[in-house]
Amino acid sequence: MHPEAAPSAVAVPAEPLLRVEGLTKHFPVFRGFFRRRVGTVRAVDDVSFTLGRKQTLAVVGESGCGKTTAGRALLRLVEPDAGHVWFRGKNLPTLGADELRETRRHMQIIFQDPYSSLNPRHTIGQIIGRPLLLHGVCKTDAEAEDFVRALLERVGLQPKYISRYPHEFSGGQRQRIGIARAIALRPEFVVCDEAVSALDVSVRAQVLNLLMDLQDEFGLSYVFVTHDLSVVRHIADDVVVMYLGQIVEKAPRASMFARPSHPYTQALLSAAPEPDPAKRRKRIILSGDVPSPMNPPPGCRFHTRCPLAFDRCKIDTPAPHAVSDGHTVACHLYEGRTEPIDLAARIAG
Amino acid sequence: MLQYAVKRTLWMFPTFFLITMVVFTLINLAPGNPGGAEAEQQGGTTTSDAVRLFKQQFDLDKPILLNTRWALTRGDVRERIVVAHRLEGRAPTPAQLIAAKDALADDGNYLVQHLVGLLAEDPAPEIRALAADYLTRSASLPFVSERIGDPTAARDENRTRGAYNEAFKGWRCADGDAACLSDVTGKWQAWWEKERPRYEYTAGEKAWAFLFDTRFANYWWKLLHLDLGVSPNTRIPVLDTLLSKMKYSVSLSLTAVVLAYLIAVPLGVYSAVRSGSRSDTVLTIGLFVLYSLPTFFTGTVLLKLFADGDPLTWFPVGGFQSDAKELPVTTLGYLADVTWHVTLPILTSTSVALAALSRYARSGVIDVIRADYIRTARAKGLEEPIVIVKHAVRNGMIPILTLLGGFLPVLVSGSVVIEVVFTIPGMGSYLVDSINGRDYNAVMAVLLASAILTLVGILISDLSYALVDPRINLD
Amino acid sequence: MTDAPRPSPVPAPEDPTWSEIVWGQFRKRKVAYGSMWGVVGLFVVAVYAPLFIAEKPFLWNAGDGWSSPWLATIFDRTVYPSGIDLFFNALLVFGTLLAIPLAWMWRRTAPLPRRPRGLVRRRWLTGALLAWFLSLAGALAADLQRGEVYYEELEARLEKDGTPPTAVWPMVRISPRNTDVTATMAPPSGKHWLGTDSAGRDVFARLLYGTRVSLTVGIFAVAIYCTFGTVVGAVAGFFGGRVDALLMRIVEVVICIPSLFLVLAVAAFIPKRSIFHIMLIIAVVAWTGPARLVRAEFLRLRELDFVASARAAGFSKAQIIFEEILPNAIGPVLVSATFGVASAILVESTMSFLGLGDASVPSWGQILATGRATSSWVLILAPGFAIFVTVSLLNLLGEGARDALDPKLRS
Repeated sequence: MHPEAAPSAVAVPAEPLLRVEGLTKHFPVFRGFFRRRVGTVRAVDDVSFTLGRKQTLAVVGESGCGKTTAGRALLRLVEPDAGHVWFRGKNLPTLGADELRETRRHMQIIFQDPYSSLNPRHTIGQIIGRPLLLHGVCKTDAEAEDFVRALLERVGLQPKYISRYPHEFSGGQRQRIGIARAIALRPEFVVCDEAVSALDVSVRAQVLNLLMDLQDEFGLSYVFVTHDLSVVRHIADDVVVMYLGQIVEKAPRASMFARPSHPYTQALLSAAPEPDPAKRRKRIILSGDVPSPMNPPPGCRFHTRCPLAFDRCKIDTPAPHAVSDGHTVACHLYEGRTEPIDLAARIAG
Repeated sequence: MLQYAVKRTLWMFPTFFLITMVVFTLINLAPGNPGGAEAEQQGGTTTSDAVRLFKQQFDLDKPILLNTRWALTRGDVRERIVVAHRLEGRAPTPAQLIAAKDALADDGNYLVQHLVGLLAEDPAPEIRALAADYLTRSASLPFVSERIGDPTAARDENRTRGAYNEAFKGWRCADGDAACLSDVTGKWQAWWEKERPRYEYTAGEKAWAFLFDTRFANYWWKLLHLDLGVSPNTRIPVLDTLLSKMKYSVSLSLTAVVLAYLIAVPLGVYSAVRSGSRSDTVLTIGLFVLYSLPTFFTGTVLLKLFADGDPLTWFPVGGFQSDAKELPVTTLGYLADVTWHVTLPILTSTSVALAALSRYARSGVIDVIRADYIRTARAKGLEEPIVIVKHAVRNGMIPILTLLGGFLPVLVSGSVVIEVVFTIPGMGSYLVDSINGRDYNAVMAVLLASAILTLVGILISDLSYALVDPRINLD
Repeated sequence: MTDAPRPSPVPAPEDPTWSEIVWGQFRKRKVAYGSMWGVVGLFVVAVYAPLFIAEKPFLWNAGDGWSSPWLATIFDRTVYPSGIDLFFNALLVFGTLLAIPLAWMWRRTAPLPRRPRGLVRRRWLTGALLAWFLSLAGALAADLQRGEVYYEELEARLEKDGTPPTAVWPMVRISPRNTDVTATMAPPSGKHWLGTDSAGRDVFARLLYGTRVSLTVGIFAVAIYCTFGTVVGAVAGFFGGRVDALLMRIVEVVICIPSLFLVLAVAAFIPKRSIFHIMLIIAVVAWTGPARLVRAEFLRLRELDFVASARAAGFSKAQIIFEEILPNAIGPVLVSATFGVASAILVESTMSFLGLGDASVPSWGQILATGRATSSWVLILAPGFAIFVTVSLLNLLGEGARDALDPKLRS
């Protein structure tokens, strides 16, 4: 056998579908009669992650941590102030209007609120079909109609609903419509902005399973923004934890749940309800409230509530430290250390 | 709160400035510019002195908003002379002819340096003669306004200037006589050597002229000195006339508003409390009818019914008070006389305001009455009247207060009709008379006065709203 | 096994559109629904006025064959000098001609499913409108001026001569513009049902034809300023920031001057006022209403997720404004427009009352002014009643529309 004919033994890592570097978004705050700028809300600060094909990345955090803004910034629904978003070989924030419009069909979004995400004056057929006509996927109304009917069936709705109006549907059905709209253009990735948070629990499971089926069938990638850890456990491949606009821990799902390292992550996980009494963790209750994103604490933003904070935490912003394969933690405690520190034990002991 | 009040008041001024600009532009864009009729009477748009002085007095020779005359070149001026006098075989249309003549008459001082140049250097003798001719007028100094500052000093200054301007009258040539021309040229050259700095504009002077040597700027200057011009027919200052008339309009409108509120609020509350009952239905229908009747109809009908003898003559046919010889001497008698006169107009005015207000009062209170906190108050055992007055009315009245600001312009508008129907010498009828008499200064003054009243009304309602509604957080 | 013959599939009942829901809500409100028919009735009166009151006979035969002077002069400028009359007469002729085919078409398409039905109906209506519009343009362009035969006198003369013609006359043989100087300020009589005014013109005729003027001013002025105000409001509300601040400053300036004052002042500067100028003047003053309404709606709606979704799909800003947000924002404008028609009619009649309207058309306000000047009850009450009826019907209609559009009041 000729050496060149042998298949290469080392797998070349594929270029990720989406690579985000240093994504930043600040909102200025104006006060007073003359609209003076009195402060800045640092909603998203230096966020970086990658997303592979057919992967689901969960972005987790409390309300106000910036995860929704980050998700929308990826699609340029809010304009990033700094950072790169590499998609299909281009940096999204630098694209011109025409190029951006072309690219939009490859990235879509599903919204949280089923009641405000569908235009009450359009039929379902119009809601799903107009983007198809806009991007030329369908050339005539009749073509679009057939396409939409097939799509409706695929997401579990009856094709005859095509001429109905959003107000005639329940929350779960509306989310399915939103999903149909998002995948109609066959995007490469979809941002799910708390897509199941507003649904009843039973419906939630159905919709999540639908999303996973669609992922398999169409090869989609998801950026799943959520605050619900059970959802993360169900569908995520990788997890990113955010606090006050920054990423504090990044890991594959198994590793994240097996050995949560950052103090905040541990507190978060401990707060999630766990049905199995054997696995219940000790609740860690953090002191104080989340500081205002307008005046984030200096150094590590978590230091005001962290039971393990020490002097350096007030001064230096921690860099991400790798604690195992693909698992990074932004905490000074892990400088030169890979063993997770058990927060609960530390507090009790 | 004080800070908010100050800020809100300051906000009025830019808006008011914009309003004056809009009103001013509107009036000056009118066909047949203000005073234009009179100017035309005195010989059309020629360069006759009387017309020129008239125009100067009303600033009609200046551009409306922005002045670019300092950018004229000698070529421009020459072109105008050629067109205006049909030289060099030109055949301008009547419109072009008039435009050129007007420009030469109006641009005044800005032409001087170019005219002097033409006089000295232009090859054609006719042009030079005409240049000298125009110089006699362009080089004359404009008169100062005698209403600003010390009138005596102003008059003296104008006398001096008059004499100065007279001196030029001889420095021109009737025909293209070469000897006369060279003599005149010499005189002008000598004059030019002395007066040159005055007519060669520096950059600063040009910038100033661009913005401030305009009708609008002069108008604003006079406005700041409360000089609103004179009525061209009577020569009485507009400000005086306006103030004398304003008191009628304002007193009538205020009385009507106060009465309307006093009646509408209880009426609205009653209607809301007895919502759906027969008396409520009757009331609603009655008020609806009142709302749909035009003001001039109600006024005319009332007048005819109660004053004109068809069938009654309880009230006078019009006017604010009786004629001088019949006017009672005592204060009480005077008040009675006025009341007798204004009963019908106020009745009309109030009914119009009432109709609108009571519907809002009723719907506002109805909305509030159905609210949960009213149920709580009742459940607490409070008596119904207290519940209504203390809770429902206070909260339901908040939207009505905001209406007050918006009400003033409506009432002022309505005053036009009422004053015309009842022959009351107020602002509204003054407006109509001025419009018919083409007294544009007066029209402008009335518009501005009413705008000020409106702004003040809105300010008051905003501030009172902020005071009354505890939810408003002022920052 | 053979298949039983299948019955043709029954089309599934379609779900109501937003318009159909609103219409249903409106119909349930009897008073408003009745007012709507009242307004339609006014409209019919305006259109068919010449059928009732005209100075030319429908049919005429003076021994030399039949002719129809009425029809021949329906577009004649000597008989109907005003453009408004031509507008309505064209509607009269073509509306009547096309009414039956249109009604038949409407019936025929009722059972069709929504999409094709809408297309067919739209096509027919466009055709009808085009026919009407072309005839109006033609009539205006042709500028016929041949109507100077006074048939009444002719008839009287021929009767005296002993050769009476056969003629079929409309009910009232009068025209609103014909003056009879021998009979000024006549009281109501058999010939002049409401008497004559100070120029000898028949009051009843002027009252009826005045409907045309009022409706035209009301509807056109409102159409103009609602369109303009909506666009301004949409731009201000959608773009926000400096654009919004600038536009709102302009709105403030217009609002600060009392509307009637501004109307009168602007009217003063246009020496030859035609009804068209009056419509424009009213529009200039009233556009701020819809502008503020639409702006408020846009400020609210642009934050909603479906707008973000449209952006994510790549629609342009213009598409988002007009296709996504605007259909949701026009509800309040419709209500405002209905009240606006009533208000415009009031303004126009006030202007005519003060002598600052268009003197060449019969206007209710002008009749009232004459009534006041000559102190005549007929001339005061008749136009007053007409205005009252029109404005009331429109106000009731507006209130019904407002309630029908309010989602909280769905019954």
